[in-house]
Amino acid sequence: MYLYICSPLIALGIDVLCQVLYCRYRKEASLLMATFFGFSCGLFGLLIIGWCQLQHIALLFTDNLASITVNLISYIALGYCYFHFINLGETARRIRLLQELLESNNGLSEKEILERYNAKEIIEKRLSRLLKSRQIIHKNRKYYIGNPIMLFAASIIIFLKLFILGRRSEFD
Amino acid sequence: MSVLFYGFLLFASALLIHVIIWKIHLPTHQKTILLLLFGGTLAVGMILFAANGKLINFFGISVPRALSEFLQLFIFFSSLSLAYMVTYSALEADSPSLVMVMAIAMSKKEGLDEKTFNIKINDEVLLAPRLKDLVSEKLAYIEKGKYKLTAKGKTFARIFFLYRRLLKRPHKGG
Repeated sequence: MYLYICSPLIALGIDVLCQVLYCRYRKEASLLMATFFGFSCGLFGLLIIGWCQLQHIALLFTDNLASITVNLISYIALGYCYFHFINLGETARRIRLLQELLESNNGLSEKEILERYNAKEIIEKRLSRLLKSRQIIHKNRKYYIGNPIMLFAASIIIFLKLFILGRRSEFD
Repeated sequence: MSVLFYGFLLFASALLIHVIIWKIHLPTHQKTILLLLFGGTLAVGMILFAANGKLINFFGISVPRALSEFLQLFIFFSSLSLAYMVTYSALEADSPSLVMVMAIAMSKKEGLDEKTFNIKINDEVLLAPRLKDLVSEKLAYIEKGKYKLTAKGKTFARIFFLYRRLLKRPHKGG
């Protein structure tokens, strides 16, 4: 029973393990593919544990369904947190700044930090990602919105910022 | 059914209390308050269920009673709360990609030319606030005009550095 209750945590463990193995042993593995692979393996593990356990428990169908839903939602939420952790290491400016400072023995002045990491690099990396995924289009030295998924995500985040924090941007 | 229903009920209550507090006054240490609020709601909810389980009954659904149900409720509520908290951290700071996409979207069909793009999004917008964050969150301190890591900052940096190595990612992200 307790194995089943803890199955979202076990599934998260499977997710992490499979993602790490995918990244380490597959040549030129894309991080996004590895994330999907890990998440799918964890999901498979969760469903297997659920199926095995529910064979032995005499509950009503609705209770079984509710219990599986609880574990599924818990796993999706934990998987989302893990994805966020990976994404922090990949894209967060704060983490990159911490790494730059860790590598320096005597600390860095703001000028020295900006020589190593600056808006130009941040923009170039993100432009490359956005252009590659066709979220934006570059034509005649101008940028246009391509696939509106990112715009949709941005609109949701701005709505939440306005609703919860009462401002559109951290500079407001 | 009880874990699903009362888990969502507790989570919705925590969210509601959070929005009400934030509307009245935006706390200085938002993440700490958020953590206390969600943790407190779970603790109060579980105590209430354990103490007055027979009195609480919404829509004919009884509250969790068995230890296994409490454990499942704990995992369910904690997972949802953590997911909300990581989303909340994305609300606090402006993501460069979203800033870029919104700047382009504002230009509508005319498009945003490269020069305007670079003027709008610079070091002051992208890096200065994050450097301030490092100091305010006690991950770094300033000594003789230089930023240096605190012990907490070093631990954070090492965790991400090691994990990127484990995943065979390029040396630096960002």
